[in-house]
Amino acid sequence: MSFIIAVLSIETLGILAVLLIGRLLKYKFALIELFSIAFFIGLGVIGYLQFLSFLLGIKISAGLAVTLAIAAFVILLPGIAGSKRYIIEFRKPAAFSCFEKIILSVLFLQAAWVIFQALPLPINSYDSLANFGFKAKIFYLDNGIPDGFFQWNEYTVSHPDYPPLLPLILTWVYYFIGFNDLLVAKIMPVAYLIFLPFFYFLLRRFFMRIYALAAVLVFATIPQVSRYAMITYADLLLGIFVSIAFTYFMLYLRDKEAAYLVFSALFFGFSAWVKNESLVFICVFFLLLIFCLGRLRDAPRFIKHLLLALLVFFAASSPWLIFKFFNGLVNSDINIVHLGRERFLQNLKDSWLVFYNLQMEFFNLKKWNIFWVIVLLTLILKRKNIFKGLAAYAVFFISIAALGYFGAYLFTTNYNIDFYVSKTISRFMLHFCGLFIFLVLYLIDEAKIKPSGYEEY
Amino acid sequence: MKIKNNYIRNGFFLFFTLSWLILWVVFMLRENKKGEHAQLRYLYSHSDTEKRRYLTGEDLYDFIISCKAALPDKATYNILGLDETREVTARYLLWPARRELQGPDFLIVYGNLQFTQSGYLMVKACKNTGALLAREGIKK
Repeated sequence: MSFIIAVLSIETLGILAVLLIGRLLKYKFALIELFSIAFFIGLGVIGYLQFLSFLLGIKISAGLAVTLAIAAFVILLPGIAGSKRYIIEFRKPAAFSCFEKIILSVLFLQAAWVIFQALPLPINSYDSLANFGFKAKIFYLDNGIPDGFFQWNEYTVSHPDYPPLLPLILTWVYYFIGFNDLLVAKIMPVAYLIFLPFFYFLLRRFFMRIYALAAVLVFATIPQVSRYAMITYADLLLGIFVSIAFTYFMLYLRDKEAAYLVFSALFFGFSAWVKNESLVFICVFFLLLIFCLGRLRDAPRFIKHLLLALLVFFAASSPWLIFKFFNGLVNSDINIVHLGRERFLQNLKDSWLVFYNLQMEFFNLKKWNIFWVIVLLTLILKRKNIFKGLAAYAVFFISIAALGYFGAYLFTTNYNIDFYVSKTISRFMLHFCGLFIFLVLYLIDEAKIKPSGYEEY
Repeated sequence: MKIKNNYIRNGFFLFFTLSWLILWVVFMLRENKKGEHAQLRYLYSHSDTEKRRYLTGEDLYDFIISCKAALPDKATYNILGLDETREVTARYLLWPARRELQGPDFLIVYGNLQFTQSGYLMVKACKNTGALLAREGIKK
């Protein structure tokens, strides 16, 4: 019960933020969108609040967390009465075909299977403990982030410089449930389950229902995705945030509605709190945004939308990014100061290992992960379309981001490149799953919805 | 049969979706090599503490918990004899006691009952698993 209250508190804070954004932008939410986007924005908000309290030297207790959630609920009450203005009227969907019913049944079974497997698991795998569970225990027992935490030694806590969102999410849940590392780990399956309908909703804005459903099914059943939904790793969370931000960005490129740009920038902003790799996606986002706005040859819009995106992004990410910059927090694995010419040349020489491990992810079918084979085949079979319409932007976005990841491997310092690639590449590919799903669907759904104004891009 | 739906005509889509579904069913039913189904059966039939013992390794878990009981809150320790993965688990379980390399209050030694270090006295030895030593003058 206390766990459900913790989830509801995240949802409440999220809805408060979402309705505020909706009001400012005069944006109407579909019900699925409202509740699911509220959860993920709520995750960002609780991390943000806890980090601000650390900066201001305020200790957080269970009582304060509950008070904040109740206050948000009280503020929300009058909003709920008038919320009809922000919600699109629910329309009964057309009857599901037999194939769609099969897909829905499999999705329900998959969700149940993930819950069943996740329920008895405490936080226990290496990274879950070292990077997230341990930090959450420290934050909870210290009523917030301890003073000087980010300067602690590696032998006291691993990678204190890592972005703190996931430990802060776990800490928030602890405030409601008490220290219980078995129950707290259920926040990841909850995020997975909330993301699935949200992803469907986002894809549905582009594609026919059957395609959107099948895409969600594929995402939900990719072995690594469902595995990471059971354990507490930030990679799935980053994959979710980047997928949401990217899809809203594609919606923005298609419809040019400022609200989509705001949501995209907001989720890219929050992703900076999840993992350092997000910086690659953030750079590509701004690069592509400048390019697309530049092509419009509309100077007022260029300035207005670029400033809007920058403002929202910095509002969401600045406490962490500024703190990180001014405190000299440097990743121990990628440190330019320690790199040196010789090490860089050695990394360059060993860079073939990146491609070797990459092809293993594509063709090593032991994990039955034919997802990457499907992606590759789609790109080959639909090669004539990959530079048309939004597909071109998606291809550009994914390619530059992938290059960014490749470049990051060349700047690794502590261990040899083989160590990093073999340990991380399959997890890193998880960050791209949602993006590739969008691209594949875009290439195969020839009847995709094209609203007016689309051709302009 | 008259084919109405666009997606049915999209052989590419249909082929991969069906292949995906078939693989999903096969791998859902198949016991995997790591024996995760057996692990699930174990986890569902045991208490929360037993779950943690099982996943951590029973010897290590019991040893760390017995050491933790002997450590004052906020004590400092160093731990020896563990690989990186198990060392992280130990740090997690022992918190709020904090690991320090230089001059810790306690030394936790896994897998070596005869370990000695000048300035440290044996507090207790856990049968076959390890020893806890305290710096001279530290209140236990």
